[in-house]
Amino acid sequence: MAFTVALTGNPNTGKTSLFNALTGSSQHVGNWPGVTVERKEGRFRSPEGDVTVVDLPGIYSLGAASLDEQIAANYLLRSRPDLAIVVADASNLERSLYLAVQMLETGIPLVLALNMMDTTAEKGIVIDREKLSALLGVPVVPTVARNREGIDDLKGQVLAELRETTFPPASFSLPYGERLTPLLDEMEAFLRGKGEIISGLPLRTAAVKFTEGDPDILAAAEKAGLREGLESILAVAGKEAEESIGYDLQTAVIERRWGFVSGVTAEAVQRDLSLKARLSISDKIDRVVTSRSLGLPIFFLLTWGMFRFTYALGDPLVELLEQLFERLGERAGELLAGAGLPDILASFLQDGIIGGVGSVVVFFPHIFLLFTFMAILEDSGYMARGAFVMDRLMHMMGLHGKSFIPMLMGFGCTVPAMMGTRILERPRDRMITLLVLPFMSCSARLPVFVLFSGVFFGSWAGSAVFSLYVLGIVVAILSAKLLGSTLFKGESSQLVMELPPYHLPSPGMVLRHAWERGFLFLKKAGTFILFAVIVVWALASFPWGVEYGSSGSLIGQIGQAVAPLFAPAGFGFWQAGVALFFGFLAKEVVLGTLGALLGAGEAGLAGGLAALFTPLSAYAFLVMTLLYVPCAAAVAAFKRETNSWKWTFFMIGYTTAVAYLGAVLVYQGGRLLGLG
Amino acid sequence: MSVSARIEDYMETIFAIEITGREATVTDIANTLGVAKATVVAAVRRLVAASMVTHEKYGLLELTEAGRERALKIYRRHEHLTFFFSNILGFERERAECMACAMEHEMDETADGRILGFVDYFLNSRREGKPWVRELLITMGDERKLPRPLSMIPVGGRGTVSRVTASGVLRERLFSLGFVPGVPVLCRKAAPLGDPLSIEVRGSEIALRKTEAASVWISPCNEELPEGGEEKSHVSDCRDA
Repeated sequence: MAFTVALTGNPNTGKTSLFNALTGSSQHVGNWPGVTVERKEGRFRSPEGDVTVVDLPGIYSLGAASLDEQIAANYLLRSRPDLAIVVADASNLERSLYLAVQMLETGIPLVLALNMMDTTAEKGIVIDREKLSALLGVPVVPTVARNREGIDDLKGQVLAELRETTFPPASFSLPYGERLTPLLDEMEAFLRGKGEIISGLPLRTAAVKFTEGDPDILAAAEKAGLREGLESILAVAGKEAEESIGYDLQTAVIERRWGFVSGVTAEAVQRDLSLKARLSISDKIDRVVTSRSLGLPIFFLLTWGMFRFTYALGDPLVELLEQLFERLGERAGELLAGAGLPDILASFLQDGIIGGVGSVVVFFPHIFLLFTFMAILEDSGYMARGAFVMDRLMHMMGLHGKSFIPMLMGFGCTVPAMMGTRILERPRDRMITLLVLPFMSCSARLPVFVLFSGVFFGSWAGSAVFSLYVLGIVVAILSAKLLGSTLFKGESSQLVMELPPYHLPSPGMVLRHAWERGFLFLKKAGTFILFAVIVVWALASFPWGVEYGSSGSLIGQIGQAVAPLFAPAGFGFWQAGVALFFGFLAKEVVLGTLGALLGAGEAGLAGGLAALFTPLSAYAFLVMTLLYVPCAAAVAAFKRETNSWKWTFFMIGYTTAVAYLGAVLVYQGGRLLGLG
Repeated sequence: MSVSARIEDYMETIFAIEITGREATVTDIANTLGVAKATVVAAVRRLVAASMVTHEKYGLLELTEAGRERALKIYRRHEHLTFFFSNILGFERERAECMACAMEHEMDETADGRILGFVDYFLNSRREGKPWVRELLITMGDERKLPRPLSMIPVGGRGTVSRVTASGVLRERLFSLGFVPGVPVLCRKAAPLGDPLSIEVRGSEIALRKTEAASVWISPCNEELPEGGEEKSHVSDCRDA
């Protein structure tokens, strides 16, 4: 027998730790169909058969208030797993029970895991597990997932339930009070006569959810041809109930559900109030970390430190990897030439494959390090505070408090920054952040800026480079504003988030998280980057026999064809077009390409450049380099994060259009001012 | 037939004088309403034209049958509103009259009927000594107890949710975090730049932007706390309220 068990719970209840503890290393990470929300699946073996554990997104309620909720509700109601584990935070049971009660209503057999049991003692909380189990009618297992405590018990209980459900799951019925019950009875009776809204969903629950106005249930009822009948019941009995309660039905249902939860909590949980009144450690930390005077400085210091460390530790590793792949390429080239392989194959292997793999792997150290830091911030509870203190500033720019971290990361490398947008829950905030990230000047653009500025702007070089960074930020802010008020106009930004208590992050989980991210990048973005590299290699090498990337090659010909387009921006010569094209591989390649094309190598580039560019057209070229389509890796990351070719092409088009416009404006404006 | 708001006042005044058994003159009206005689004369001319009033030679004014009917309605409305403002909401008589004057012309029959129904029900309940009447009076008497948006609760302030006016996704989100009528909340702190706020509800802290917090209405608790401190002794106060 094979079983499927869903894992649900509020955010910040240690659900991920529990998932890891249950399934060990046998995990598979993918996406939910059609969306970018991550879907994790793991497995554990038992004498009865394999148990597949599906990790659902962390949610507060089984409604439709967020994409996460929709996914979880849809999965639970339509795929109906054999059992669900609800992870509850033992130190704040009331909040967790609201979801648990909704889970009970689905009629899926449940096991309640009281996680983080180790934190209850210090908070003076005593939970009567037997009473809780009796009140809810489900088995209750205490766990401390971080230390793997109670995991075997939990598995045992899950298996026992799978073998034979001890509590008949459909028997649970939440008391909705005397004023709602007649209405719910009437709707249930109606459904009993006409049929189910969603197959397998208890009729009572369907009636409750319909009364609540759950959009998913309304749509399903419409489809089943039941909506009209139910609505006519609501129009009479519902209106009556509404009038006698004094609230609308949605409020009434939810208020009763919370009432039940509060009742259960009051009966099963004892708390020592004298302990509660003392300032907790979290409060003490918060007094400093979110204080009026220190809140923002601490945030800036922490994020700046994270940024510095990522690159300070990562850069040497990247260099090492680059050298490794370069040597590997050379060695392979020699070897292949010695083996008498045709040149074309040797070039393909050396420049195409090995170069391509190399350009993917070099991103790994930064991604790994960055996600290590991000996981520490997230796991410790600081990330939410960061968003809390930054939200006002970011909101003024049309972004979200949490957008700041990926934006800052963007100065290092756009790829991990784009992956970092996962901390944003709302698709709108996330998409806007993703779309403006390419304008934050990544470190690969810096060598281009520095060299050009050195050649053309003399003692003003530093200011020129700085002005480009500022320009990037300004364009990002303006774009965020523009996108927010046009394409994303209807969707309001929202900041409603829990500030969880602080706790020490567990090293195992942090490393695991970082490793997963890095590995996923290699796997998913890697194939795209490799593909892009090979296309560029082919364009530069064919027709076979021409010098790599010269004017005779395909890319050289394309460069000549598009050169007139760049004339209004002041650099209408084919070398510039080709350099920008190669810059798609990685922006610093712009320099190498120009060096090769001007026949001087990177070292003698200065003289060659001075012959082609004027200071003004050089600046226009830098503006173009700053703003135009980010490198292949970033595009791949964007595609992976949005899971949409439509948005990917929009991003490519938008950035390129902005860049072209910027370059032309700079050149033409400069000429008008007499700088040309 | 249109009789504008201001003109209604003249009819009402004439009516008020008539029911004391006297006959109204232009001078009486000018004195009662505090306007110039010429103004009254102009108004009277319009009332006569609308056949609401007859104007005798010696300056005596008399309402026509239709005029009296109409004036009675306005007068009754005025009296109800004045009673409502003074005897139920507890305003000074003079202030109550003033507000009644301002409102009476904008109200239609339905509103009139409902207020009358409310006043009746309230008076009956008060007579029967229903406990809610006392609670209502206390609540209304204390400005600080009137519901206000959560965004206006000072740091350290407590209260209970009275209703959630947000709509759509935000409403559901607030509900699922436990902001439902009757639940106690505490405003813990504001972010360094004043927005968002951190609100304690059901044992956890929730960050909300002020615009979002404005859609949660709070009835503040009896004793509002001075900034920050001494939470201990007050915890049970609000919880038990």
